[in-house]
Amino acid sequence: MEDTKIVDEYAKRAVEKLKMKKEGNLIVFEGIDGSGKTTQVRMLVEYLQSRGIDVVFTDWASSANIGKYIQTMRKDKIEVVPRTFSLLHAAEFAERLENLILPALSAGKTVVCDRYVYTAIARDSALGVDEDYVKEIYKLAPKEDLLLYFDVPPKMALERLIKRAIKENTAKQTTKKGKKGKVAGTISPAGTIAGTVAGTIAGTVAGTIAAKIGKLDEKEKASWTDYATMYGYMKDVFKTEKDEEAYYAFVAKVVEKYKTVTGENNAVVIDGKIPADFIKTQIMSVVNKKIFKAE
Amino acid sequence: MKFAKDNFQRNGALIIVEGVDGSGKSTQVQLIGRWLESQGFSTVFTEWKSALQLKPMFKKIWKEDIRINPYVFSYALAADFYQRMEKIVIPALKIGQIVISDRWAFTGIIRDTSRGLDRETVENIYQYAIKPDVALYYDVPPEVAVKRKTNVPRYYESGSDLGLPYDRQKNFEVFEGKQIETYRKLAGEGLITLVDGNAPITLVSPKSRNIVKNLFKKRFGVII
Repeated sequence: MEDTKIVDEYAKRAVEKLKMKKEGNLIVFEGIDGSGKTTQVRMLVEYLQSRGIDVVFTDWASSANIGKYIQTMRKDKIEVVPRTFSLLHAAEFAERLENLILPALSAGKTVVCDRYVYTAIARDSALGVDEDYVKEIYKLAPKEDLLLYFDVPPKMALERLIKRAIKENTAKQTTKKGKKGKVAGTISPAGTIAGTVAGTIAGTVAGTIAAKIGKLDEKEKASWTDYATMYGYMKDVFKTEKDEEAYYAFVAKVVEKYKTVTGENNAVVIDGKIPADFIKTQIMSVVNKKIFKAE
Repeated sequence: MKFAKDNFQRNGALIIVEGVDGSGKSTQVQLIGRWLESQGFSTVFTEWKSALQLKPMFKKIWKEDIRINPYVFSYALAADFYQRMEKIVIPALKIGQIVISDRWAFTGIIRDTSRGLDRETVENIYQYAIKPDVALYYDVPPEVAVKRKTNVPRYYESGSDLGLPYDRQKNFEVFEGKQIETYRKLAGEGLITLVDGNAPITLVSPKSRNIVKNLFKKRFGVII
């Protein structure tokens, strides 16, 4: 059995690699889809780069193998049970941790994450997976230096998502590159919770939107930029009232858990309702104060 | 290791087999299945890493020898396990079928701890696994398992993802040794029933059948 010691030795090394020392700063953006965080992430990355800081940006569910497959699952609407959904995302995170987040942090770079472990805690526990279980499978995640939570009413978030879908669809049709079916894939609610009970609901929402956008003519599409029309349109995004209720009930659960868990981790709460430029200024000031210790 | 309490009515039975590659467990599992079918039982078969929903992902990683770290490996396989447990195993047990599973959560423990994860960590991951009615472990000495293997060992089955220093064949030998060591420990703890697999098929199967017969007598009061 002398030989098995070799296995232990190499296995230990493989696992130790995931406990690298963190030198750089870690900034985390959290919030539901349509809360405005992604826009702000981009602006912050640009700002940091303009200051000559070495920044690495990373998106949720984006790793080379597991992440790529999660994206395929979203697109093809492959459904899995909540625990499988949860473990798959933890696998994706562990892959990205080793290949991207840890190397950057140990090299002293600043890492900006669009979603982090709080997304998993909020979403998976809303799906019925035990919160402690989720926390345990993300135990490798280094603690962030700054956590920003984007607070926005679920209804407003959904409006933004619909607007975004319309805009993307219109752009695609103009360039004649777009495929109708693609819209569903680009709308976040379908994407982020696809493969779950709630995903089915959100998927239906996105599917409905995509189908309707596909059918309507240019004139009508143009009028959707108008808020009042949008609101009227939103009313029949959901096939039935029950679908609508289920959707909002799920989002409400996510938001509730999000607030608790980000609150426990001293998140800076960003009011996602205010204009993007104001938020940008606010975030720059928080980052300068908390990360770069400026006056 | 603790198992989850059933939150459903178990009308059927869960028979699982464990063992390293080359232990003969897959042959045994087929024989048990055929025998039970011939006795008139309705059986359902499921095996490790086979959930349809995740198949393309594993296929690519395994086919192209893409390295994933031990945690990714562990979580991805547990994801596969729970999908099958909830969608194949439990529904079958509810309606009274006999589920025969080639590998169970023990494989997770064996392989993940061999890859450097703490046993506690792995047991936590598999804490929702339900308890098998029978868990058969086919034990063979490492040399025998290795000898039964005729093709060149694959990347993951040889533990080459850990960066073991030898060639595939030698990596496979030490990695099998490590896994057998842990399997025997689990057998010693009474979690799995050790069946000596170091004999011709014809001699091993009566042993398997006797254990299954006992289960049927105890659980259903039938003698088969």
